[in-house]
Amino acid sequence: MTQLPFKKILIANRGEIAVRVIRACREMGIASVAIYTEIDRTALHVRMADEAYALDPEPSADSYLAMGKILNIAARSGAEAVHPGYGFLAENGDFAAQVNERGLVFIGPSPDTISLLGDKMAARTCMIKAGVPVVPGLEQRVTDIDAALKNAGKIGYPVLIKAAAGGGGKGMRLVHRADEMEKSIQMAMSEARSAFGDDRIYIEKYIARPRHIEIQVIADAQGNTVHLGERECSIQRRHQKVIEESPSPVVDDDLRKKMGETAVAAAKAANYVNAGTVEFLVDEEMNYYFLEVNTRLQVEHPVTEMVTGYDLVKEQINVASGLPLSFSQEDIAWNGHAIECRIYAEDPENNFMPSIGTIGSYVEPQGPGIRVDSGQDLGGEVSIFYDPLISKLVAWGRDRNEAVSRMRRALNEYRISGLKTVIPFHKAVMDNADFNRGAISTHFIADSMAAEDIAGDVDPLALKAMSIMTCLMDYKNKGAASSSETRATEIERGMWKYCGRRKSIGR
Amino acid sequence: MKYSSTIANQIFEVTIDNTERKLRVLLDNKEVPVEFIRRPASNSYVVVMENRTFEFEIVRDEEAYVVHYQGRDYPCRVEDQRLIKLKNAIRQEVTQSEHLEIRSPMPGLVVAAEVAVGEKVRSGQGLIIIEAMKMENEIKSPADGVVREIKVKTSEAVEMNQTLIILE
Repeated sequence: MTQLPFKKILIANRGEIAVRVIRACREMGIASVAIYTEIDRTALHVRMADEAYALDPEPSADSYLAMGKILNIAARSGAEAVHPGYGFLAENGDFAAQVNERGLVFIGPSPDTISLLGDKMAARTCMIKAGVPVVPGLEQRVTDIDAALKNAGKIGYPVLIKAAAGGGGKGMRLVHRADEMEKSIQMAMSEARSAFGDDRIYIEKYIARPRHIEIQVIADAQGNTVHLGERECSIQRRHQKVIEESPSPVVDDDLRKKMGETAVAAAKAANYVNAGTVEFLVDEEMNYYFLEVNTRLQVEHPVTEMVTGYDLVKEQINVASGLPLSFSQEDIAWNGHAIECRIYAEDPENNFMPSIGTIGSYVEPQGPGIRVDSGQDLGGEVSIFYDPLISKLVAWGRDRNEAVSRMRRALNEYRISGLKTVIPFHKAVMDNADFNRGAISTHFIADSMAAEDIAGDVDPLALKAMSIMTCLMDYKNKGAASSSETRATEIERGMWKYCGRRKSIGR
Repeated sequence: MKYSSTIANQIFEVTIDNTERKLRVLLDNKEVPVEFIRRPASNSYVVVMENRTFEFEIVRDEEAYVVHYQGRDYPCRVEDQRLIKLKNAIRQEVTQSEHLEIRSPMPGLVVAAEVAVGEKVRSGQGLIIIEAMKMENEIKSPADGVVREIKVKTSEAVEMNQTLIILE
């Protein structure tokens, strides 16, 4: 018998990611401990875990973010390690430190690494030192026009002027030519002054249609750091990913190797142990620039698992216990193509507004190449308190075309009623010509999609069948109350028998 | 019984005849053989028509039936033709005083009203911002009109379907 890395793990999270970690624990023979709030008392992660402990009511600050309470539950349950999932406390160096102080193991990088990479400027400095390419220009603060022109000339036009205290596009100006610079700087400074009371500005290279491509890395305490290739996450709404895939349609073996080595160097520079993701912006000439490191398991990790065959959560647990990685860089071979669609409870026809409610029916797609990582099922509640992610639908195929056709098929099979979901949006993307050519960027929705695409085409016969069925229902509902002409039970039973009889008479 | 049913901006005339203890369905005055059955303990209906099969999830909304089919919702308004006549008669009287209540599509927190009382608004214009699930959501005007009343205040918690703004 091999020795278990841990006997019991507490999962400091909820929803699909808690379920994902519980599944890994179960496969490894490790007991799992769930935590839950009132509203989550019957949630899937609570039902699947071996043990469950109640937190205080819903607001996250008092529940899934309440470090002290969670640590007390960990101690009470006898858990030896804490898996933070993603979100909530996953990238909180303070929490990781407190877990360690209690003599427990935090399944993730060290508190120091989390804190270093969580500080944007410190991370950037660290990466520049490690030779990782960053978006040129950001560290130069502009004080006068001449310096600005000199910097912009070095970086190359177009450049973006950004307010140091910035946000929300205020104080931001796109400059195409040197002769536009003076006026743009003045406008950006005055805008920044009135918006933030701070007129410091920076100049950065403008990346017109960037792709978001990230590299999965994992490292053990023995010093082995391995990358598992890229994920393309360019399709975003509200600057949040909705569709991810691996491999990227534009990354070839050479670029993968180069970006992979850069990501490994970035991880090593931050003394990284456990699973992490190095995010890059990629321009149209395939230059890539460091964005940030996510010091946790990513939402979209399944696409990497599908094409590499490795279970990232199990590796995370092993590495956290001090075991070495079960594979080396040479063992990684990529097979086929995987796409993930995040199934959010949001209305894609209404600006992706969250849709709240109870799941009235729930049927997951099945069949070849399909994986569903869900945190919800029939009767589940999507509330205002938490992220509206219902599940992640993943399709694998031998190549991108097969993965897309499986995804399209699975989206049609997926039935979730009672609230709006982004399924119609995903269906439109799978049918989109630009997406199918792999011509995507973070501006995909604005550049390549029209509002009508989401409504989609309707089968005319389906519409007829719907109109008949709804009238029959109305007939039955009203008839049951009043009319003597109606036989409600007959409608309820259906017309199978009637039609059968009709057919035999007609013969 | 004669019905008129509106889905996706198309109107279908459906007649259901249950005399002589036989159920006949006519679509636009033509009899259609249709088979259907409700699956036990569900809102799911299996329909076979012209040898094509459909599975619909149908729930009753406030004013319409909502048919869920292949990942999309199709709101379907069913009107009994006797009722239509009656309604038309009434409608003529009320059109004068017509106003539109903008209700919150979700429970949340009012961040800010983007319009003021008396302001003219256009269809699609943002009226009010509601925060839910840490995201700000803009409630847009479904029609052109004038803001008659704003029923909520900034940082007030609102329930689903609570009236936010009245347009006229």
